[in-house]
Amino acid sequence: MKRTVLLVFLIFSCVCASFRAEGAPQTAAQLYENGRRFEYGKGVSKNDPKALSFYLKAAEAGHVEAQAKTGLFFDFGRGTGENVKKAVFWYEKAANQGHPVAQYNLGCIFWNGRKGVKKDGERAMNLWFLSAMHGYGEAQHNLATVYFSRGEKDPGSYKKAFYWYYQAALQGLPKDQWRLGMLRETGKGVEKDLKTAVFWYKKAAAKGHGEAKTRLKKLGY
Amino acid sequence: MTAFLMLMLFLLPGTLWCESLEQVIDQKITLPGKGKTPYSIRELFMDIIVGSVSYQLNDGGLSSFAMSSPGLAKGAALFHFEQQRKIAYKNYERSMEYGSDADRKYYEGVIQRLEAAKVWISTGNGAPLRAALQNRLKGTVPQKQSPPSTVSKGSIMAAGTITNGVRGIPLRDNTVTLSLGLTPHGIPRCRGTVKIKIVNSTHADEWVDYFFDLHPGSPRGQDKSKTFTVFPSSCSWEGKGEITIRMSGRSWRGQVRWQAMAANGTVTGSVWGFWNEMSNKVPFDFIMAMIPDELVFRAEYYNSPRGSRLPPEKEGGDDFS
Repeated sequence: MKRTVLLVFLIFSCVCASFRAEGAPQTAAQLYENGRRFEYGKGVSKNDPKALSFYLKAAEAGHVEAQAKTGLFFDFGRGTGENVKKAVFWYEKAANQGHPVAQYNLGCIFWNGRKGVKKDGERAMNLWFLSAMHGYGEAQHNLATVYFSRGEKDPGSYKKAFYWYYQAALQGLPKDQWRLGMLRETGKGVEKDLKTAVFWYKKAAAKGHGEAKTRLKKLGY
Repeated sequence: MTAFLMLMLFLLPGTLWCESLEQVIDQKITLPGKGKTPYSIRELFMDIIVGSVSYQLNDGGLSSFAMSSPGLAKGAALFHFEQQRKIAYKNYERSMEYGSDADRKYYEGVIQRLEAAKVWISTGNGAPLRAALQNRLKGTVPQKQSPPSTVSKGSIMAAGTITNGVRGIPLRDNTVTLSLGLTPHGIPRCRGTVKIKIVNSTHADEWVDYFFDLHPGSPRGQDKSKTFTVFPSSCSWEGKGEITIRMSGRSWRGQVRWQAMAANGTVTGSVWGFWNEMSNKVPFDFIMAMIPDELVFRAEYYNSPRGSRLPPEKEGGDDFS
């Protein structure tokens, strides 16, 4: 009798375990990890549509990283057709929670304007600003570039360009190191200082930046 | 359970601050002296940071604007300014390390404006911010600008030099900068940086940089338990810090101890406790042989409330022979 009870219990446990493995809902984090497995081909073949389906489920469950990824997949039409409105929807969800890459990507959509999304430079700048504040180098670079382009009309903008180029340059981006050197050499937005300009040109040149190399050569370095 | 609650209390304010910046950034505001044209909060932040405020900012206007701002905007602004101040401070230190006076001065200005902006937002007192912005607008770099203070109730800056050394070894760069002030609880605080540069006596084109970061120190001895409403005429501290030695693109770090005493506008002190640790870390004996095991410094106040005094300038390097 005892043996029979034990046997029934064991069979029941096994059935329950297999049911959980197949049908039990996964957490948002597990769904996101599955999305990554299919996106990067970790232990499975790369499969964008499958990755998106996992990301989307995780995003719907409120996973911030997954929301940013879902936005990215719709933005670039990965695993699905390009759908800018859906991209904006998911980017916004992540951006509102402070996700710097989502803020940056959403800013790019508003800056350029895309199918069904109106150009909005002001909104783009705000989003890049938030992303830059979180330390995202590309957003710092974009902000700096916009301010730099406004410098001719509004010299105060060169100061703002310098501020963001500096932060981007510290992340090792050679294009920003070169710009920083240029602003220091010409005295746009900051005090002219050739020694510091050369320092930044050298940093950029060491990473293969052609214009920085040329400038250094002209300056006799 | 208690630990969980403590953790939540610790994390909650940060989370709220972070969210609020996202929430207020799209808002526009009316600035004093700028008519009724709405102005972007983002640009106001940027104007203050880079010192490019072209609109009128008078004390009355600043105060009323700061005090009447919605709590959310106020919190976001404080968070933003503090975050950027921390970054600016790191950049200030970096600029000292790579030896750019121009970048150092630039960040001194940024830090000064950010600290003043924090005072403005939190108390409504716009005078320090106006002063900081006017310095910039006049195109004058404030004299020997302050290193950033970690104190919240004003600060006194002191600058000076290391006064001892190894016989026959000249110091090329020799700078001590200190920041003194009171914490919100009235406890005197002191922190600062020391930078010296020495030529490698065996390879004349090679330099060794020694950079000391003196972390905020606590009062010692009789000063330990005293609190003040104004900065005392004399006080002594002790604290810990960090040394970074750089040579030929390589660097080595270690711990230091320091003590200082301020009296009548002069701060004297020393840094020690690094020699043995660093001797074991650096690959060449001459690196540690070029500096004494205890560095003695002397610095003078230069923006004391009693009047502005420029710190003593030393050019060309000291020779202790």
